[in-house]
Parts: sequence; structure tokens; C-alpha cells
Amino acid sequence: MTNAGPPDDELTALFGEERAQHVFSDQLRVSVLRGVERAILLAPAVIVGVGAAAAVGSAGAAASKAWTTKVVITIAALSFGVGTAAGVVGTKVLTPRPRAAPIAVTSATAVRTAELPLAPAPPNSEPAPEPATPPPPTAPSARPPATPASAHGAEASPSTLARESEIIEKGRTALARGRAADALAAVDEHKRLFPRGRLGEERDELAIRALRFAGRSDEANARAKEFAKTYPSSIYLGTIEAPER
Amino acid sequence: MPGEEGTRTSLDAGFPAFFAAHFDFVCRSLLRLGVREADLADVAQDVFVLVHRSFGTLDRGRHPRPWLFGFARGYASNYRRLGWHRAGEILDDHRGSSQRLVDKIDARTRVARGLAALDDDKVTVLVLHDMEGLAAPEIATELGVPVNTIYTRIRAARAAFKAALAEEAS
Repeated sequence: MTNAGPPDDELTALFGEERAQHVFSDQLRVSVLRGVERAILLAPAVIVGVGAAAAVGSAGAAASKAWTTKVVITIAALSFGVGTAAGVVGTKVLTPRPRAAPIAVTSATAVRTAELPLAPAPPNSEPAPEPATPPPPTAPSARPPATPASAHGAEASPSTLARESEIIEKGRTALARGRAADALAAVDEHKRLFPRGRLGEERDELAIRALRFAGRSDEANARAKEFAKTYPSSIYLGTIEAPER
Repeated sequence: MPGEEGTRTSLDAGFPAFFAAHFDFVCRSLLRLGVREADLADVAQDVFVLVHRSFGTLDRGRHPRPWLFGFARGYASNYRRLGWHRAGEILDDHRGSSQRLVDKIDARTRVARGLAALDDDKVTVLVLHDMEGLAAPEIATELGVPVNTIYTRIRAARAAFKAALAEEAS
């Protein structure tokens, strides 16, 4: 199908080797996510002017501002699950209004960070301890914060998220190389290990593309329909619905 | 626009998963584009802040990776321009050692150096098509050019990339 064909053996070998050398740690992932979260909380309206902004549609400014708040909640909730600021969060996460807690906590983090002169966390380093945080009012030591007590907590920890991502990525790579069966195997693996995982949407999208690639169009169409119902605003709707161009 | 308001709530919720799904890709892209490993966390953070700001305008009919690569490329070019001395140091380091220890240079360095010799159009197709496995039509859609142009670019990019590798080795 690809008119350009695959790269020759030399390039294929080099690209394969190069790809395998890119390994990113959970720590890096978490620290970057925290940094994004901080940046958004600190300066929601300021856009750093770089060339990349060219990729942004002009209509975007108004819209993105409108939902900054909502997204902040989401991100706070994630880094929460990932165990940053675990000491404070550990007790508050079980309060009746879980969404309220992350905001308060992260704002505190952000304010403290604001006092530092533009010093994002160094890569691959432990997040700094947070001594300025006052202990929670009640029973601070009753609940060890880092313990994933429930299955839900386990699915949100950084290593499981990384593991999820790894499986999906493996499937995507397989599909990109034309190995639909391996991609579907990764889909099954993810479904088995993370039935309620965070990357369910990515998994389903991969499954549909793999089925299409394998020529199982009826299944792909049925699942695409299901997908559109489950994720009506998914960014993947275009990639799963469009048949071969 | 107002009609979309209702759907945005769930899209918001999609951002962390989106981050998790594409974090590695963005990091790979940045390193390939000449960002130093030591700067990766800072640069990746900045890129995702920008991505987040326009997350709501992401065209759902398109594959997100060419879109993300646009951010990485824009940011990396800024990075190279503003921190040229640092990028230069790295290249010089490797160039010095390449003459002695050709086998020891890792594939990442070779790729980044080869890509540094190409123009933006060629880098984009080589990374997205040959290294990330995206289909040419997807890339064509994102770039707004005919798919045949993409095929032509892919072939030209491979040739230029190999020429750059050969030059490095000599």
C-alpha cells in the first residue's frame, strides 16, 4: 500500500536499534506531568511564545482558557493517583468530595513552587520533600499514604500506568510494522491485565485499526460503532471510522 | 462551537491518558530533534503545556502524532536556536569520539545527527513514516499536501539521511 516502501535494511536496522534505546523512566513521566500541572496552575493565561504555537489554531485561545479549570482538576486527580504529594493526599482522597481535595492540595504545591526562581525539577530525580505542608488535621499516621489499598488505586499508580502504556505502545509498533496479530495480542493482554485501565480508549482504538488492517472489516465496523458510543468526543474517532483512503 | 460544549467534559478527562499515551513519543521526538537528554524533562514539560493549551482544538479527525510532532519540532527548533552553544557542545563531543570509536556511538546519536542535516520537511516524514510507522496518507492529511508529495519526500529524506550518515562516518 505504501508507495514509498519500507526503508532499506541498513535504515531499518538503525531505526530499530534507535527505537529500542529510547527508554523513559516513570520518574521522568511523573515529574513532567507535575511540571505541566504546576505551569498550568501558575500561569493559565500566559502563553510562552515559541514557534510551536504555529500549530495552534487561532480559535484555540478562547476555548482553551475556558477549560483550563476543568483540565486542572483532571491533572491534579491523576498526579494524585500517581502518588505525588502522597502524604497530604493520602487522607484527603477518601473524603466524600474527592475532586475538591486535589485542587486545594495542588494549589498549595504550586504556590510553594512559585517562590522558586524558575527551577523545574531536574530529570530523573526524586520529587523534593514537602516540608512546608501542614499535616492533615486528623489521624495523619493512621493511613500509610503510598499503599495502593484498593484495586482502583493500583490501576492509577505510576508504574501500572507506565505498564499500560508499554503494552499499548508495543501493540502500536506491531501494527505499524504490519503485524496485526501481535497488535491484537497486545490488546488482549491489556484487557486482561487492566480491564478498567486508564488507556482503555487507546486500547480500543488500536483494536479497531488492527482488525481493519487484518481485513476483519465487519468486526472493526461493529467495534467502531461501539467506540463512538462509549467515547463520543474521542480524538480517535477520525482514525477508526475512516476506511482506507 | 456551542454544540461542542457538552462533549468537552469528557475530552478534558482524556488529557492525562493522552499524556500517558504519547509521552514516550514526544520524548523520542525531542531527542531526535537535538534536545539534550539533560534538558528533556524541562523541554517535554513546556511542550505538554503548549499541547494542553490547544488540546481542545485538536482535530479529532486526525491522527494526534503528526500534530504533536509539530509542537515538538517547533519547540526543538527554538531550543536549538536559543541554546545553540549547548547543542553544539554535544555534537562536538560526539564528533570527536566518532573518529576513534565508530562502533560505540549509539544509534540514537547517529539518528539525531543524521536528522540534523535534513530540512524540516524531510525530518518530519522520516520520523513519522519510517521511525514511527505512520501511514503516508495520515501525514499528508496533517501537512495538507498530496500523498504523492509525501512519498517523494520520504525517498528524498532517506537518501539525504544516508548521505549524512556516510559523511559522518568518513
